[in-house]
Amino acid sequence: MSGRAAAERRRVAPVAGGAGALRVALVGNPNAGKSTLFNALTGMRQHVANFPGVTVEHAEGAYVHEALSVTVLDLPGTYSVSPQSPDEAVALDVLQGRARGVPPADVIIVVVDAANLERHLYFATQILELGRPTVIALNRMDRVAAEGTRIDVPELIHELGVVVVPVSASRGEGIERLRHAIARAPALPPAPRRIGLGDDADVEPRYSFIAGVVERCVVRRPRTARTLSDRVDAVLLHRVWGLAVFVGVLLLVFQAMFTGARPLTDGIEWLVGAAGSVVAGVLPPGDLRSLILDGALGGVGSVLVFVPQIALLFLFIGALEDTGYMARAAFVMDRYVRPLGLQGRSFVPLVSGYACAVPGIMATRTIQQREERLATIMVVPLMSCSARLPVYTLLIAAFVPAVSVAGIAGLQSLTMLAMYLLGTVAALAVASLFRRTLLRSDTRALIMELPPYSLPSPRVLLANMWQRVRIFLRRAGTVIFAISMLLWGLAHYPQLRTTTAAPATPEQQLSHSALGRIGHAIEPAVRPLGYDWKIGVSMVASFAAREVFVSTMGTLYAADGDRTPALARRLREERDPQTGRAVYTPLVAVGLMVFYVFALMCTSTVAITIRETGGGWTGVRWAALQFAYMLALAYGSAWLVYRGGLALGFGAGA
Amino acid sequence: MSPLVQRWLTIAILLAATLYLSRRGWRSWRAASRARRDSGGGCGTGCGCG
Repeated sequence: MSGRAAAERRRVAPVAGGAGALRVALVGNPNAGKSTLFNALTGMRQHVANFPGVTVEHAEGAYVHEALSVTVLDLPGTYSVSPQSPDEAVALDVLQGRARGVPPADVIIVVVDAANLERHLYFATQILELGRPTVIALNRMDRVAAEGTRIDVPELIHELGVVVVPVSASRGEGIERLRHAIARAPALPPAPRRIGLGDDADVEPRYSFIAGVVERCVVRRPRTARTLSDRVDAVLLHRVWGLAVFVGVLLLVFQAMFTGARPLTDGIEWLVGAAGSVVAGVLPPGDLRSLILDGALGGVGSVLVFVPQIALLFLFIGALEDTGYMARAAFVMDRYVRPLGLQGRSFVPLVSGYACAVPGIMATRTIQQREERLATIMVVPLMSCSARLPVYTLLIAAFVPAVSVAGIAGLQSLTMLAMYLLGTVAALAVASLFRRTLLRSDTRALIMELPPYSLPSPRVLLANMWQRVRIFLRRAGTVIFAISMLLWGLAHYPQLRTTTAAPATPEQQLSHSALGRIGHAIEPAVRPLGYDWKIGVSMVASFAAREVFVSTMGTLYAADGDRTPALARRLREERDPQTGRAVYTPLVAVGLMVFYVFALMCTSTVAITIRETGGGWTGVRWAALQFAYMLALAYGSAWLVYRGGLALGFGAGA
Repeated sequence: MSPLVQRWLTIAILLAATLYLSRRGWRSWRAASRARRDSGGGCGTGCGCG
């Protein structure tokens, strides 16, 4: 629903049982379970994670209860009414009706984690003092019950003077009761402002009030032994074992991506081939047939085969977040990144960057300090995102043998892991450089909540995975499709005039085409890296989006006349027409992968960096610096790999 | 289908692809400019990420 439509519908008749519309804001501390409750209330498929501060921007959903249309806003997690970070400021602006284009809410739902009542009541009592119709959703009651703790809800209602509804959002328990309470909230007298505990400057009165409330309302079973969660944390948060587990988890993910996706990848390859045969059977030889076969199927088909791996990557990242592991990884990394001028909180956006730099950069809003936030934004694109996956996979499949190393892991997955680690190490090193030069300031201590371990919901994981795959498919079906067509046009025109007695070879035609001429013009720039003009053209085309590299190669090699072998095999067999030597050697492939680890080839990332670094000329300057240093790093590293490899005798190919 | 018809159809498809990409690029640029002015909006890049 658009903001304007929601605005028009609000405050019609906020009376229970009657027809009308109600606008509800969902707030609470990070990791209170807001997003899960939002999904339970609205049935909307929004990403849910056990990750503090995952809700960077508010989401909106709707449901109908007793003919009352209710719009729900899921706001970013907030610790207090004194905002410490940009996303907290957004949440409070919306709550106080100060956000532009977002009308104030009729009812505020404060989501409180029943298992961490004392801490979560701090913010809840501050919200009650706003004097607005408020309902407290006491979430995770199932966990409280499992721990043997009892919460006296009627007493809590009495103490706070507000409606408190016990719920378990992940199990869908208490949701109807909550909907009922929401519908009635506007008709009730506003929450009393009697608490009057002052502002954040003096926290003591508020904490002593909360301690009294908790003492009267909560009966805990004494803890006798270390829980299973404590024992798991002892390993996962260990300074050495924690890091080893993190690297091991990444390796497992990549191994599973290579082996698990293979049958599906083969299936898609077969489907693309079958579609090509159908087209070849229907259309006679000519430009249109070539456009469809070489341009559309050659370009888009070469990208589509990576869908299974991208799906698996998002499935694993989602699972790691939802089990509560990602927050542990950030905690473990805190002690390693602190000497570099960052804190564990910066590691959260960096890990998000494994999926896509855009949400990663947006997640930096949880970082309170400006310099630290800017340094993190500048390096998030160095984390290998899913768009690099097709490039890595193509080159690894073509040049890294599928052998096992010491019987533990495949060499291919180890190479993939090496690329991801290279990006991560480079991100940390560059961030450290920024923090010591342009962005100097003290590093604050990390205060971070570790969410409880939980079993991820397969439905949520699959829905999230499908959402990402759909975005990729839409991109493949629109932008990559159109770019492939255009590249085909550039690779086929102008056509070489030849006689029927001596027709031009596909290689001659390609060299004569506009794309060939562009490629030959830029060849001197890429030759020092060991690349030929075809790689150069593919690199230039992929400045719009990285995966275009693969589709361009698909189009180029199909245009080159040989469309039957899979692209990886075609690359292995490619020979320099003059020297007869292999164009793509393992050394060239590694250099190319290193180039793609470091280069910023994504217009979406440039746009989001401009916005998140302040917009206007300030934002443009930061984005330009980011683009320039990454390009220089990419070129320099690829050159070093190639020249260093040659000097060490790794050869330029047979 | 004659080679001439194929060629004209190909040219039409290539023009459509050019038009589509130009429009998309222009819209992305406008959305990014709007997002710069109003930081409360969506990502503004049209990429769908996040």
